[in-house]
Amino acid sequence: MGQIIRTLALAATMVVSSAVSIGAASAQSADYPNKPIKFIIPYAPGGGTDAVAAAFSDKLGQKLGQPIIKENHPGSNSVIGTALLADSAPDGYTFLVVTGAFANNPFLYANLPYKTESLTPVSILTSYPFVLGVRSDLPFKDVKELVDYAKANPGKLTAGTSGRGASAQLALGLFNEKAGIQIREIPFKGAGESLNNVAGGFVDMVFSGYETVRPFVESGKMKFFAHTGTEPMGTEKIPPIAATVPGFEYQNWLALIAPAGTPAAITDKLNGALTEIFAEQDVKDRLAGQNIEAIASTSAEAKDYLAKEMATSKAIVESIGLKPE
Amino acid sequence: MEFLHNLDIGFEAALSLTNLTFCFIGVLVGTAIGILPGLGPLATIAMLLPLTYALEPVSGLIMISGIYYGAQYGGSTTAILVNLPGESSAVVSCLDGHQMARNGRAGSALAIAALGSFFAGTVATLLIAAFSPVLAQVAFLFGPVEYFAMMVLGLTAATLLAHGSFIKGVAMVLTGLILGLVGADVNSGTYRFTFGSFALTEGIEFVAVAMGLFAFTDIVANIRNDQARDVTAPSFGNLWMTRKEFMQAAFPVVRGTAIGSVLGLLPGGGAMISSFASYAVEKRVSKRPEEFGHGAVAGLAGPEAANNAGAQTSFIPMLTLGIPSNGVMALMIGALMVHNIAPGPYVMVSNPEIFWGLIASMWIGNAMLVVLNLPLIPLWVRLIQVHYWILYPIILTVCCVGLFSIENRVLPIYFAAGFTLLGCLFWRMRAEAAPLLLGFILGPLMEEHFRRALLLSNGDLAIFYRSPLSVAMLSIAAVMCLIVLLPQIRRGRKEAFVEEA
Repeated sequence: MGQIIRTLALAATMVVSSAVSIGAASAQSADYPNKPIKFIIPYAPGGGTDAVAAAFSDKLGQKLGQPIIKENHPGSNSVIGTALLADSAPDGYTFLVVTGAFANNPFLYANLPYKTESLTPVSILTSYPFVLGVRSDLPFKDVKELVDYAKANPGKLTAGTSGRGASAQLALGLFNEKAGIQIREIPFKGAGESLNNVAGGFVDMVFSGYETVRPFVESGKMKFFAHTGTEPMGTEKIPPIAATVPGFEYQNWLALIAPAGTPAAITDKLNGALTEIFAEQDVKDRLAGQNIEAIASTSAEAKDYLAKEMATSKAIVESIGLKPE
Repeated sequence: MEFLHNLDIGFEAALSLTNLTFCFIGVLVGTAIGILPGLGPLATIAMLLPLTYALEPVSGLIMISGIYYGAQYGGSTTAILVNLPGESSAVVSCLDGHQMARNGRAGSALAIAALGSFFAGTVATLLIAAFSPVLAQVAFLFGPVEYFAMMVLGLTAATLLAHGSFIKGVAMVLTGLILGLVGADVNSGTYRFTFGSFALTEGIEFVAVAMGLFAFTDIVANIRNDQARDVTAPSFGNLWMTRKEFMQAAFPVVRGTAIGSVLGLLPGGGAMISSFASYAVEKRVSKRPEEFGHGAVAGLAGPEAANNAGAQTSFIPMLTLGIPSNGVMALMIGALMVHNIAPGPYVMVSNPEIFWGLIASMWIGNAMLVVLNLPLIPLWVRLIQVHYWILYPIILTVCCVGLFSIENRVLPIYFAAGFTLLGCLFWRMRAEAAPLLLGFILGPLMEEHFRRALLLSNGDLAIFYRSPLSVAMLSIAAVMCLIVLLPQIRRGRKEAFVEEA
């Protein structure tokens, strides 16, 4: 009985698919997608990447007419999830939503189970700077005073980061280098814990997302007077560090990545849908409220962006003395 | 006023339909597994942990805690009716509870247990609500140095208070510490004991350890045991106790609540120690100690109140400091961390709805339990008679699905299988596995805080004795270790636990 059903189903599929291939020249993209699409999230459920992915994945699913299923595969600074993507078929039904860690990892791990350059970037999704959250009882109120204080008291200030190879560690390393100061790094497991320790007064400052620092500023435990972008930020008009320390910039980003060899017809279709979604007012407002910029780019633009980011990461990783292992 | 405002936030969260439902599921499951001998709350919570990952954090926590205190109610039902402790903390309830049932006072014994537990639950909930903010203020003084000292104290106390041999307790904690080392080191990012596998870089999956050591091991152990259970058909008579019984129960319940509330706070404390302590106290203060063991009301009422109060106040160190006082609390911390919530004093500030919602749900859950327990007793009696050959395959299947769903990988299932073998070995050696879980959770945290403290002080060890809090806690831990080494006290400790063997 089961055998019969399977044979019938197979026959039906063949009839439908051959009909489609006769109908259109670019059958593959016209037909696509005809089953649910899987997004690999290489982080634990409930994290920041989940939240951003949620902002667009439902809408993307509606536009494409197929549901988008998120699967969390956390671990190793996103390496585990990325390795899974690399092993998936390039048929447009498996993608990866990944942070800047993707560009850092080649310089942190000696034996990555995939080749970063061979994967197909579909689009950059968002980009946002870190805010510098500082313990509220420290005697400085802008970056210049901070740098002066750090120069007068070398090795005294401390900053929490989220561990080896984390973006916050890279931002701190770059800041130390560009400003010619020495703020000591205290590694934590994740941004939450390092924020708590700054608020508790055990660590002096932390580079973290705007939304994560804001509650502490509102409760008076922290102040933010700088961020890692280039323009004044948000309703508070927080000035960029670059205004005091020329040439300093650190951007976080999220990108959508496909397995190596995914056809351009598929990535183009996704790009088109993403561009429309990010142009919608409510999506814009939602992200702007968190000082996150939505970027829908073409596959080629995303590839250039990634290449540039990888060069930046390489330089920072080397300058702070990390070696692949 | 702030107190009322906080409770308002809490009830608003706890009274939402979703959370009420999960509270109900929690206490129902808790009662059921409390009634089934052999399946404890630790095993059940380990099984249900993957499920909570998909829930809102507050719903998940409400359900887990419902299971924990629900099991205290259910355990006493089996103890009274079958003379088997459905749950380890109900051991004492067998002594007098079952005797009351044999004297034809089963209904009354169940009512005393349920109402005594409800009273204790209500008081303990109020205590948590009143004292947590105070404790949390103190907790703001906790930095890496203080956390390290606290964890040293916690591990020492847990080893000391664990039942069974002291040497085995130490061995278990150390095994846990070693297992906890697997994975990436936070400070340097170096991989330890991963054997080149990326799957191990995040450490051994905690749920797999817990399920293997507790849930699966319990199942194997129970299959080996004699499975025949006779329910001495209880004559319920009247569910209501007599006036005399009420008077006899009132003071023991109050005393039991007080004892349980205090002992629950201690590391390694919780429901079981509270009920033993209360029984000892009641026997001592009683005018007719000869009645104990022959159906003394006080011998049932006191421990029942104490175990429930202890179960509830053991939430305080976990909620305010992020320190687990027992295995169940360690699992709760695991559940919080999955949702990116670092347990500690900041939870109250950053997620007030979680903190106060959980507290409010405890009171609601306790009320549900009274309603569940008294009228549904005939149903629960039927449950005691369900055969293991029906129950266990279902449990095993559900567990494996749960393990797979954590990371969408089969590896945790293999790990759970491995830890089951280890758990069975421990069980044969009569070594309690709970200290291993504490070592596994606290070990890596302890190292992290120790090294972070040294990073902050530029490697100067003096940082540990500059903080008065740290000095106090480390000294207490040192004194505790000394006490264990004194032979006289060691003998006393042996006696205190001999009843459980």
